[in-house]
This record gives sequence, C-alpha cells and structure tokens, in this order.
Amino acid sequence: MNLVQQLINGLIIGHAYALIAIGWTVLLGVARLVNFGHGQMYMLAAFVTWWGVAGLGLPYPLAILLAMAGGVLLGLVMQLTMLRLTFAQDLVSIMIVTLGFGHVMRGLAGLLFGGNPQVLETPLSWIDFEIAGAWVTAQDLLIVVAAIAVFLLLRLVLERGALGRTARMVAEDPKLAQLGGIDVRRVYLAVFAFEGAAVALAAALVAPRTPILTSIGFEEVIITFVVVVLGGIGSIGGSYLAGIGLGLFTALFGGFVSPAYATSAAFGVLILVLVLRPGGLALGAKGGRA
Amino acid sequence: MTAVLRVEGLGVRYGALVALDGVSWEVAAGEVLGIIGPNGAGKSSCYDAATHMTRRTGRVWLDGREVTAVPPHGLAALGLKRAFQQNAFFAQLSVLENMVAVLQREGGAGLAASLALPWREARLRRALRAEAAALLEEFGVPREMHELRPGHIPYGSQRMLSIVLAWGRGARVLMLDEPAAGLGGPDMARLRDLLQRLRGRGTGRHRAPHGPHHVGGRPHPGAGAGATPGQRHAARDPAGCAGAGSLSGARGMSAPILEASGLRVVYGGNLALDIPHLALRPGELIGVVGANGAGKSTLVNALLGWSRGAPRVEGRVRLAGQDVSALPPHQRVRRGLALVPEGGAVFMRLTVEENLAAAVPEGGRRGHGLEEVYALFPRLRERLHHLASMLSGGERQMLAIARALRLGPAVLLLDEPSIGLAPRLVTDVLRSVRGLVGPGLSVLLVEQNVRAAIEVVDRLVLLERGRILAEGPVAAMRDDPRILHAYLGEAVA
Repeated sequence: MNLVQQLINGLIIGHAYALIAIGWTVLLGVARLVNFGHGQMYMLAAFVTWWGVAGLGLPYPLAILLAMAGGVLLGLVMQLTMLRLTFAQDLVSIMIVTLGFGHVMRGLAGLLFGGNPQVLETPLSWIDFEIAGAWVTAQDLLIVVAAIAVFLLLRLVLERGALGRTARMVAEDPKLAQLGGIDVRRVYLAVFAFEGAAVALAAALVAPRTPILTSIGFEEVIITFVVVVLGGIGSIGGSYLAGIGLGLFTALFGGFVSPAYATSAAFGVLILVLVLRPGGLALGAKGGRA
Repeated sequence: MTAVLRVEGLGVRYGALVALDGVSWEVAAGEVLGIIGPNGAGKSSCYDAATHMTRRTGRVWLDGREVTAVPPHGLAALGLKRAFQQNAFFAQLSVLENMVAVLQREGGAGLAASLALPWREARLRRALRAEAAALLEEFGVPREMHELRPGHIPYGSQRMLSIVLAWGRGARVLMLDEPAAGLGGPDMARLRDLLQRLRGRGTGRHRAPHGPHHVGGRPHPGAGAGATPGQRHAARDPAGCAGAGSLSGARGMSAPILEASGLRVVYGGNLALDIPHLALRPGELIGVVGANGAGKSTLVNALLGWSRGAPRVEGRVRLAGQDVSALPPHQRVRRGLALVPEGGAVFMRLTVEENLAAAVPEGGRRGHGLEEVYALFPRLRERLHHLASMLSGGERQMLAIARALRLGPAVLLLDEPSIGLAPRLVTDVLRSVRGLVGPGLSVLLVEQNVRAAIEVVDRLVLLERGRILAEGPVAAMRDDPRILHAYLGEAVA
C-alpha cells in the first residue's frame, strides 16, 4: 500500500467528513441543538441532486442549488415544529423528534425515488489528475476547496462581527438575548435553515463518490457525531481539524489494517479522546468555561 | 484557641489578572471571621482558593491537618462547607429534593445497600425527607415552598436555601459568600438569628460581606447612604421646593410612558401578581419595594412579557400609549422598554467589550455611547477585554446596567441593581440611576434596600403577596408605618 496515496485519500475523505459535519457544528455551537435526522437529510439531498441532474436534466451547479433550496425548506419545517422544544432546550425530546423526522424522510425518499441504488454522475468525476502517484478527480478537489471555503467563511462570520456575537449570545442564554432585543426565534430558524443548506451542499458534492440509496445516511450521522464531539462541541476550527483527522485515520486504518473495522476504530478513538480530553480536541476553544 | 481552618499564601491568577496574591488568615472554633472589601477585591476568589475550586498556590490546613491537595468534595466531606454568592441548586429538583440530595451525599445508604434491601431504602427515604423538611424549616424555608423548584421561590428564601444546602447536617467551617446580598430587613434579621444559632453549635464560620456592619451583627440595609443623598432628596421632594414642584406639575399632566392595567400573573395555578393599575410617567423614578416573594420581580418581568419560567400573564401593558401586550419581549425592547433582570445578567462567555457592543439600539433610538457608559462605570473600561465570567458580582451588575442603557430605553426596569454591590457602590449606582432619569428616561426600580431607594425615588409602590399595598409620593410614604414595619423592621433607627 502506498502511504502517500492513503494520505491523499485521507485528506479528501477528511474534507468530505468536515463538510458533512458543518451544519451540525453550527447547530450545536449556536443553538445548542442536535439533529439526528442529519444523515437522512444528506440522503434526501443526494437524491434531489441526482433527480435534478438525471430527471430534470439540470446542469450540475443548478442541481446543487436545487438541493440546497430543498434543504433550507426542510430545515425550516423541522425547526418550526420544534420551536417550543428548542426554547425549553429539551434536548432529549429534540433528539427523538429529529430521529422521527429522519425516518419519515427515509420513507419519503423510498416513495419518491424508489428503492434502486442510483449513481450521481457529474462532469467533474471524469477529470482525473495524478498527484504524487495518486489519482484524484476534479470532484475530489472540489470537495476539498468547498470545505475549506465554507469553513473559512464561517470562521469569519461567526468568530468576528455582529452576527457571530449574536450567535454566541443566543447559545449562552437565549432568554437574556431577548432582553438585548434579539429575535431568538428567527436565529433558531436561520440556524436550522443553514443546517439544511449545508448538509445539502455536502451531499451534492460528496454523494457522487458512492452509490445513492435510501439506506445511506446512518454512517453520515455517526461520522458527523464523531467529528462534532472530537472537535469540541460547536467549535468551527475544531470540527475542521477533527474531520481531517478522522479522514486520515479512516484511510490509514483502512489501508493498513482493515477497512471493515475503520468505523469501529473511529469510535475507539472518540472514546479515548473523550476520556483524556473531555472538552474535545479544540485547543483554546472560544470562550472560557464559566 | 487553635485554628480550625488556616490558609497561608493563597494566590490565584486568571491569565494575566492577579486575583489573589499571598493571602493568609485563620479562623478558630466558634469564631466568626468577616472578609470584607470592595467589589472585585478578590473575596470570592479567596473562597475559591481555600475550597480548592480553582487552580491556586498556597497551603491550607483544616483541624491542624494539611489539606492543600484535597479536592473540593474531599474538603466538604471533612466539614469545610461553602455557600455561593450566586445561588447554586439543582434547578430541576424540588427544594426538598435538593436538601435530600445533600443529606444523602453526607451518608445515607449506599447504592448497593439500597438495591439489596429496597424496603429499607423506602424507609430511609421517608426518614431523609422528614429530616430534610425539618432542616429547611429551621433555616427559614417554609413548608409550602418545599415542593416548588428553587428558581420559583422568592430570592430571600433562595439565599436561606443555599445556606442550608451548604450546611447539611453540620460543618466544621461554613463559608458564606455575601449571604445578605439582596435581603431585606426582616430577612436580614432572620439570617442574623440563624447565624447566631449556628455559632452556638461550635462552628468556625466565615462570611464575606461587603461592609463591616455585618460582622457586628447589626442589620443595616442602607449602610453608607450618608447625608448627601438625603439633602439631594430634599431638593427633589415634590412637596418641598419650587424647582421640583414645576417638574412634578409637568409630570402630573403628561400621559404615562408605561401603563399596566389588570396585570395578572399565574404561576403553576397560583396567582403571583394582581395589579389593577400602575402608571409610570415620563421622567419619573418609581421604587417598587416589598418583602421577598411579594412579586416585585414578577411585576417587572410581566411588564416586558419575559420570564425564565413559564407563567401565564394577563392584562394590558401600554408603552408610550401603544398597547404592547401582544408583543414578544424583544419587540418591547426595540420599542424602548429595557429590563435588567435580577442577579446581574450578562453573557459570561463574551468579553466586557463584546457585551457592550452587542447591545445596540434599534428603531432610531439613541442609546448610551461607550464613553458615556465608561463615565458612569469607570471600572468597566479597566476590564474591557476580560470575559464577563471573570468579573466580580458587582462588576457584572454594572455591566448589566450599562448594557441596558446602551439600548437607549425610554423606560428602564431595574430589578435589584444593588444585589452584590458594596454599600458605597449601592449609593453610587442608585445616584447614577437618579442622574439618568429625565424627560427621555423613566425608571421602575425594584429594590430590597429600601433605605437607599427612598433617597432617590419619586414615588414608592409597596407590594405584598402580589398586590399593591400602598402607593404614593416618597415624601408621604417614607413615614408610612406599613413601610417601616412591613419592611424595614428593626433596621430603622
């Protein structure tokens, strides 16, 4: 096995992981929310992109936008149903409601798109490069570039500026934020809309790498969970690093030990890290713990 | 007498900020040691250091044994018990369950024994509940509050609760951090009696009050008010001189800036507030006073439609003539109604600067500029880049008030701004508030410290059990026997 090849593969998978996890990172960081329907949103968005390209004959970029619009809509519907729970910060109920949403989405995808595996073909999948002896497609590069761009943008928006401050205020104390004249309801809706758009973007970019089935999604939600927790709940930079780290780990473990146990091993790492560093890997994460 | 607790060379740093440097003291059995100092002097840090709640340097001995390396829970097991400045409870457990949890920790049946002998567990639980109820009552938390959640009982009772939770079945050293903060006359007297009783049980004890008046055991709610504000008051007294007379005349004519009618708040089936009518006129400063649990906080929260709990609010609230009853809190804020809730509410994970920058007025109103805020509270400028969580209780209160002023309110609702402030600062802050009041800003001030409040307000509203017991100009009210009796208690000279 070629180490360089595995490293490059790991970097690409890592950026894909980070991109998939970004919606949930913001969800946790800003609104202290969870979404266990995250994986099914990924699945549904992958199908919508496929349908846009294969069914409607849209060009790939337009199909991505279509999937993102669908994601926004889905996010808004979910959050509107859960607003009351969100205000009460009733995480257990939110977890169960989002799990339920996930199941509904899976059923819906089966009804709309059928049970057959589909392959999302994009023009970029056909363009290959050779980097240090490893073959990389333009699609892979797009994933890396998009992930970096989204993370940079988020860092800029969330860790500086008024929007980020508002987000951190709502995360810390939504009731108190109201007294500052902030419409907390709108912040929650916006955050869930972002979650929908982000996961849809990730799906549209990453899904061409694998066949699309209604049963995918579980692995994505688990991976997301690991990335978010390793990254130090809600930390933007932490999630990015955790995604890359997990990607490298998966690629190297899969390449040199066994691909079958890669996910289990990832969980092993998660448990180990949480025992040693309960705050996750994020170094000097924003804000002191009061 | 030998020292029960001795600390030597305690030091605490938060980043570059030295909170405590080389502090040594000891307390003997049966002794009461008062640790005093202005806001931010390091009183709470001193406790954190002694109880090992923070990373610190220095050494600690308890009963002659060095316990420097013992973790906080270990110290508690050895009898070094601490109550916090901010009330710390399990919010989801009832008052009684909170107490039971403490007693259980101090030694009841272990989990294994409970599983092996479930019937014994049931009996033990009943015994624990009875013991907990008795302790609570002894410490002044009446039985009708036992099934409520701690956040739903009056502030004064919360303070008592935090003391009894720290005490548990007893302590070698009881460390109280501003136990009297926010307590009114009768509660203060209750607290003093309680502490004296505890002392009789042979415990070295320890408090961090602001003023020396606590140490001598004299309750003195308006300490440090001095003569100057009284003179100021005389000049402002509507019944007094002509200058103020014209102001009050204008006030009588103008329409209320804030008006509540038929305001009722129902908390879990109980009517917590019933106010047929209350009006605040432009440029007026009304003081809302009353014992703990009278409904003062409920009133100001209801005016904004805001609450940490989930009460049912009925009635009309009009702001500058417009009915705002149906608006959510943030909309009322944008229309010029600002609230500083009880307990110096600031964003702990934001710096002082961010806290201030985050409060920006909307809808074309002009708020306090940063310079104006610093002029009012110079302390904030020094702490600009510190996280709010690193501020002392008093500094947080200043920051909370500054945040509200930044919003450019027409009406400011202040809920107990004096909690956690040193007596001198109370006077300073209340005088600053008085100075702010003018044609553009009216204030509704909830204040436990009636003595200090009387010096600055125009009108007083006395609440009792959610109803207005008396209301009127301060000149008439200050000698009202109901105020003296129901509230100031023996503190009035």
